[in-house]
Amino acid sequence: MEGADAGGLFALAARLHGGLGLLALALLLHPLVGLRRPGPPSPAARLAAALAGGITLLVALFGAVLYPTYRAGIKPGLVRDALPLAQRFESKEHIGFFAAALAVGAAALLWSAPRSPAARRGARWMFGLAALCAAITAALGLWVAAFAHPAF
Amino acid sequence: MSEGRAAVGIGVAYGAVGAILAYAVQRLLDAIDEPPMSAVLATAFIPYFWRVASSLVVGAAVGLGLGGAAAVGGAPALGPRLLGALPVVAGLATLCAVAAMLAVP
Repeated sequence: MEGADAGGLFALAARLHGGLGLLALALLLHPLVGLRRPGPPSPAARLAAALAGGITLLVALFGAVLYPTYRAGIKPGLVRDALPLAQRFESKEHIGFFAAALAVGAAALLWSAPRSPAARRGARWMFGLAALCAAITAALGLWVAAFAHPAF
Repeated sequence: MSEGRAAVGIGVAYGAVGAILAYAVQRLLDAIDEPPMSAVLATAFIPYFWRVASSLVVGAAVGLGLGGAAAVGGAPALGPRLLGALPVVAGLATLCAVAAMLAVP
C-alpha cells in the first residue's frame, strides 16, 4: 500500500510538474509580444517577465526534485524496454536546464536595464530562445509521460 | 540607465549563455567514454546534478568576468557592444547546444 501511495504521489507531482511547465511556456511567450512595443516596458510587462523567469526556474527545480525518483524507479524499466524513450527523457532534462538558464538571464537583463533598447532586444531574444527550449522540453515530456509512469 | 545595474543584467545574461555552453560541452565530453546507461543506473552518483552545478560555476565565472568588465568600463562602450552581440551569441549557443543534446542524449 505504501508503494502504491508513493507511486500515486510521484504521479501527482509529475503531473503538477508538467502543468507548471506548460504554464511556464505560456509565460515565456508573453514577453515576445509585450517587448515588441517601443519604449520602456510597463510595470505589468516587467512583472510578466519576472514571472516567466521565476516560474521557469521553479519548474526546473521541481524537476530536479523528481529526477532521483524517476532515475531509481522508472528509468531502469525504460532503459530495458524502451531505450529511445529513456534517451528522449535525458534530452528533455538537458534542454529544460537551457530553458531555465535563458529565462532567468532574460528576466535579469530586462529588470536591470528596462530603458535600454539593446537590453530589451537582448531580453526579447533570450525569452524567445527560452520559449523554444521550453516547447521542445514540453513536447518530449508529454511524449515520454505517455509511457513512463509508475505503473510502467 | 544605471551602468552598474545594467552590468549586472549583462553578467547574468552572458552567464546563462556560458552555463548552457558549459553544460553541452560537458555532456559531449562525457559521451566519449561513457559506460552503458544500465551501469550508470546502479550508482548513487547522478551526473546530471554535477553537470548542472559545474555549468553554473562556469556561468557565474563568465557572468562575473563580463559583467565586471562592463561595470568597470575598462574597454570603452563594452556594455553596449555586449548587449548588441547578445542575440547572435545567445542564439548560436542555444541552437548548437539544443541540436547537440538531441543528437547525444
